Amino acid sequence: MARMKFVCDSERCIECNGCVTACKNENEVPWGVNRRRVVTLNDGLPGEKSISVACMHCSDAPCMAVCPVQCFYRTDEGVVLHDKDVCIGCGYCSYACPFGAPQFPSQGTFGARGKMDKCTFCAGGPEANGSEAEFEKYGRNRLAEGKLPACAEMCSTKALLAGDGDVVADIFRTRVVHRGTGAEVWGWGTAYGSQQAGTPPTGGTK
Amino acid sequence: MLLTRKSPGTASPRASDASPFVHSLRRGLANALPTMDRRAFLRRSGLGVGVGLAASQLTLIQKAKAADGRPAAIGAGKIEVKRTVCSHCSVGCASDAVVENGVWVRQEPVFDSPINLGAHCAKGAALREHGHGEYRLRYPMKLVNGKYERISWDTALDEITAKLKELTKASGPDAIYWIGSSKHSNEQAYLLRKFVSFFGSNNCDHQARICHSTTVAGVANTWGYGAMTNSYNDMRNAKIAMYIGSNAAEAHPVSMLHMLHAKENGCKMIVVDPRFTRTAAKAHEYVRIRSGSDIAFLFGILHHIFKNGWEDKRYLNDRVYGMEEVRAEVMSKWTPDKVEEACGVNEAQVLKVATMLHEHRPGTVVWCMGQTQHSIGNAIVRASCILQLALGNVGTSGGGTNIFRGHDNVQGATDVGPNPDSLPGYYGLVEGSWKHFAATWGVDFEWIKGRFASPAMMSKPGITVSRWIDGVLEKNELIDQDSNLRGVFYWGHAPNSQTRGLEMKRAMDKLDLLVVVDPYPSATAAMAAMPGRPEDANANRAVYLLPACTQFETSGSVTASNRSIQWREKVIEPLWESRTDHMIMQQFADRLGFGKELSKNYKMQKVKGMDEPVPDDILREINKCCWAVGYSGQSPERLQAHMRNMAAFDVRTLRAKGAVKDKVNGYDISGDYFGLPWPCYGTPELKHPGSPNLYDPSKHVMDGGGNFRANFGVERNGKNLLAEDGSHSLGADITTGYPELDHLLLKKLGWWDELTEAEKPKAEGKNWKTDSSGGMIRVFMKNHGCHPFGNAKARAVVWNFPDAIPQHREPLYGTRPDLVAKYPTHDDKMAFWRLPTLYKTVQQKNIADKIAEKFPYIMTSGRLVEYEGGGEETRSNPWLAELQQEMFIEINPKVAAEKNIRNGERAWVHTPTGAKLNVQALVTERVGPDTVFMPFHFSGRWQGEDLLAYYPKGAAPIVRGEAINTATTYGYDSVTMMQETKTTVCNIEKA
Amino acid sequence: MKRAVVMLVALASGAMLLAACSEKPQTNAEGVKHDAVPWSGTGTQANTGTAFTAPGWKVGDKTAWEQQIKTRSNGQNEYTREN
Repeated sequence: MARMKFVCDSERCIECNGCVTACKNENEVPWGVNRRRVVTLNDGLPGEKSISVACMHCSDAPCMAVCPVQCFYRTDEGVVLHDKDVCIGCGYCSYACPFGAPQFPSQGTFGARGKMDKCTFCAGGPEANGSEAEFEKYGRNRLAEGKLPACAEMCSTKALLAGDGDVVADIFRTRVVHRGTGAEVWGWGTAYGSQQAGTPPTGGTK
Repeated sequence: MLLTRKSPGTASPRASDASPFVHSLRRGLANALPTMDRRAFLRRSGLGVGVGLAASQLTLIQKAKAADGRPAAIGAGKIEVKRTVCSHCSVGCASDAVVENGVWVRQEPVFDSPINLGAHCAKGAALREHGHGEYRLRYPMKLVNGKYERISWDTALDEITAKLKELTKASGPDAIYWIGSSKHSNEQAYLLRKFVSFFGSNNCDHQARICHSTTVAGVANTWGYGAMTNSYNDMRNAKIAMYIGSNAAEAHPVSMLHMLHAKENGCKMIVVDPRFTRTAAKAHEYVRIRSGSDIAFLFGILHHIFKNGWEDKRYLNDRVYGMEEVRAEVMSKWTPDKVEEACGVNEAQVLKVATMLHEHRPGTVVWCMGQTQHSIGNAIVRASCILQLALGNVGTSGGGTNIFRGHDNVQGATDVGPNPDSLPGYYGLVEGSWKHFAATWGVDFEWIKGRFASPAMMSKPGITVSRWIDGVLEKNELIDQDSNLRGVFYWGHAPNSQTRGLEMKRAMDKLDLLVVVDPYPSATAAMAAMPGRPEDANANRAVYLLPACTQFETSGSVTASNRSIQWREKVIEPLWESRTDHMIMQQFADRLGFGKELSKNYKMQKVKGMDEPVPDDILREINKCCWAVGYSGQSPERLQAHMRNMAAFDVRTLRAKGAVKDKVNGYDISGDYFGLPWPCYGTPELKHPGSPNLYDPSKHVMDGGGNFRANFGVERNGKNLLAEDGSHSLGADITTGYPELDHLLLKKLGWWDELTEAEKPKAEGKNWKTDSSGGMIRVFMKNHGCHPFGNAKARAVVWNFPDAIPQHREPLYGTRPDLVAKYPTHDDKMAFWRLPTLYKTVQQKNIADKIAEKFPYIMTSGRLVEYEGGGEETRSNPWLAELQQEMFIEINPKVAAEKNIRNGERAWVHTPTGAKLNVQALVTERVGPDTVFMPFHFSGRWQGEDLLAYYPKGAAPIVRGEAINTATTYGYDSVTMMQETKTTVCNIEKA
Repeated sequence: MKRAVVMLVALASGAMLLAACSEKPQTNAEGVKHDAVPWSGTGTQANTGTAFTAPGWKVGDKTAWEQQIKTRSNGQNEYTREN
């Protein structure tokens, strides 16, 4: 079984925030916590591009590495989850994450940080699958229902894809092939020295 | 730092990109001013200025609860899945609502839907919040001493009815204005038109007036029906799409699913807009144009097309009348220098666009408010039609004029709902139509006639919603009805989407009766309660708020922009004390004395113990009378079967892929197009499949094919107005042009005896629009493949319009006095939709007062993806409200520098009305230095003051902001009275 | 090994200290949680679903679940919906 992955095709992303509200809806996320956000570069200028960002469920997750109480764990499918009962709200994972995925609701007069909350790939948490307790703490467990994250399933232009990494990559590849462009957005050229799909790479490794 | 080793002289990967707009980030980082993401610039993680949030919203997790506090179990109780359609925009995204124990607990995407394939934008993905309804109007309320107090339904209905009777006795039925809704289902909209007719008035309207009324008039007068000719799905077949005055990425996000798929497969995209919108960000070619100068641009394109001989000559010869006159005008008047002077686009770019359109056919043109909301809106939209006709792009898959409508059912409400100048189905207000409807409604024509103030008022189009305030404020002798307006019903309509807010406040104060029927109090409640000028206050005024249900608390049909009709299932029971609109109409009708007449043909169902007309029966009545527009074949059975079998429809063609028998009612969907897009001619038994692309002669009429409508006569000035020989739909028995079908034509053709014995008496003496048997349509279409509305040419010259050939005219409030001299506006009209309407006087006064110097920026408004319409509904949804917490103004960096306004600071916006708005400044290059932009969805603040105190307690939207229309100005379209919202003027200063 | 011993000692002392204040220990020895696998479904009984479970796969069967996820992911590809 391949890893679970998110891919946001920024050629299709129109910054509609459907993914953001889908997540809020499905997981009843409160005001102030945004598990998923849309980031726009070059806002208002030619070359404007948007991309939807949430937890990337990294294979070597910095949040997991720095957590002082080891509340994180990774499932066999590659989903990074955490245990809110163990979380002490120190915020270190928020510093470590390059995507800003861990969020902390501020409550009370002194802004005491609550438990860390982040995108769960709609896979819930350590509580029993689909139970009331799991929903209250972590939101919906769609994977256990045989579904995929709500954000990707509701994306207005199917820019945001989620699911089996192989399938998602295939879909993205279909689009790149049809388009003839788009792969360079992900830094293919930067990383591997190749140009557009179909043209031979310039120097460097294959 | 790049990781690749680049050999010297190798071009960087980015330089070889096809589109000049797929730029590297270098430009953004190094060259431009540091821009901030619109949403990042607003304080997101906390509370903004306009936000007031209950403390309960800040807890970590909220449980889904029923309105009465019952917690929802997780999958343990009884689960029902109800299929509904999003109630926000006209794309019509289907959504499955999962209901447990009567509580709406989950929302699942409907991947099967051929229209949205499971996709949603922010609003559609947040639909489930309608089941919470935290900030809804919960019970009837009355304004007492400046505060809203709760009253019972019976009290409210009785008091309002008594007041209505008192006012109509004193001043006649025309003294009441009924503002209906584009958010009503087809059944509710139709019922409201019937209700107002029985009340004895044509003074009703809805949001289409201020949205696409100019489109409907302009397009219908060009070739037949005033609606989107193809569909969102069909755009996949286009080789090029030009968006002119449409920001689809924010207004119709899911339509971009189809567009971007097409773009992926080679379709070119051009966006023409004063702003570099989010749609423009996806375009191959972006054209910045001065707001309101579309005709100059379009005719500039046409100039190059004619000059190079790129027009489709055969098409023009066969199917278009009057293009030679247009050609003569375009060639002489719209030379490149004139074009550039008027719209700001240089010749090179105009030629580039023309070449792209020429080389990529079929191509489609998309427009929205950018083209419609001008004093010459009717002319602008016609210029787009003329361009498409010249290219031969109309009546073919991948082409057409794809007009994206606004609200979820503005198309349906326009088709069958409360219009002041027509009856359902666009039947005119003439005696023949009234008799046709009297017969369908089962009432005596003379009785309806007697309800009106006079027979003359029965055939006179009513006042429009854009001018109801003048119906109150204008001098009585200048109004073309007996009395001024004394009572207004805001029935599912916001006030802050109409212009001249300052004067609207005065009009509201002067009324004797103001009733809001809405799921939310709407800005009307706050505007009515806030203090106004003492001299306007009417001591006798009574203001009521009645809680209506949303579309999720009832069933009914809704017409998407592509004319497909979808059926919504009822998701939950009415929340709090709200009642459905059709129940409220019935209850008013009962008290006003025409309750039995209203629902003569409907069964009643019990909802919370009270009678409510069954929506299916109302649709069946629509089927029986709306022949002309093809709303006759979409029976409830067919539509409901479509909704249950969505997966069987192809996404590219919208046609059913095979034979599928519905499991519930056995209906076989084979051959149908999804949603039976109107026109779906004839009776449901005829099984017409619907028309996915209008005017398409490549198909047989029983396959959804067609041709242009014969509505304007047989010949003009010696030229044939009917189609030329050989130009007809596939398989038509008449291979020449022919007029529209009536009993005489049928007899002359020798086909009369193909009618059954039962059909003949009903068809005798009638035409195809009034033949209640549907037999003439059946014989003409099924037996002979001919189109009942005739086969004629489209008109490039519309002689019954103020400008037969579209003329560019400067807006009433503009920044270019030099151009006003060359392109002045119309003459004043004395009795236009019952009111004096000024054009020249206002424009000349503005020149004399040097308005352009005092207010040097073009002020335009538009949409945001998170909110919809007047915005009170969406701004009451915390998931959406969090994303846009501030009303803002987009200012170009050059202007911001001149005014010393920094990004995020507050600014005052002044307009010639004297109003001033306090808004947050967003400095961006999205707008040019001559234009500023504000979204129109905000309300709840008035010239710097928060109106929270004036809303009913607990029922104010979370996010409140200035309404741009508080400050907008006078200006109306010369045919439809559309308001000129897209271009007025303002000045800005730092607050 | 040494590391594990050190950790155990630290934990033990930590637990003793916390026990005195009657607070729940906030660390976990292995750092790996026990969480039910997704294909075991969401029902109250093991390997059953609820009314919310997507139809078309056998709850409890790993391969069936993987196939379901793959199929559903493929549903995001709208190229398959056109003729």
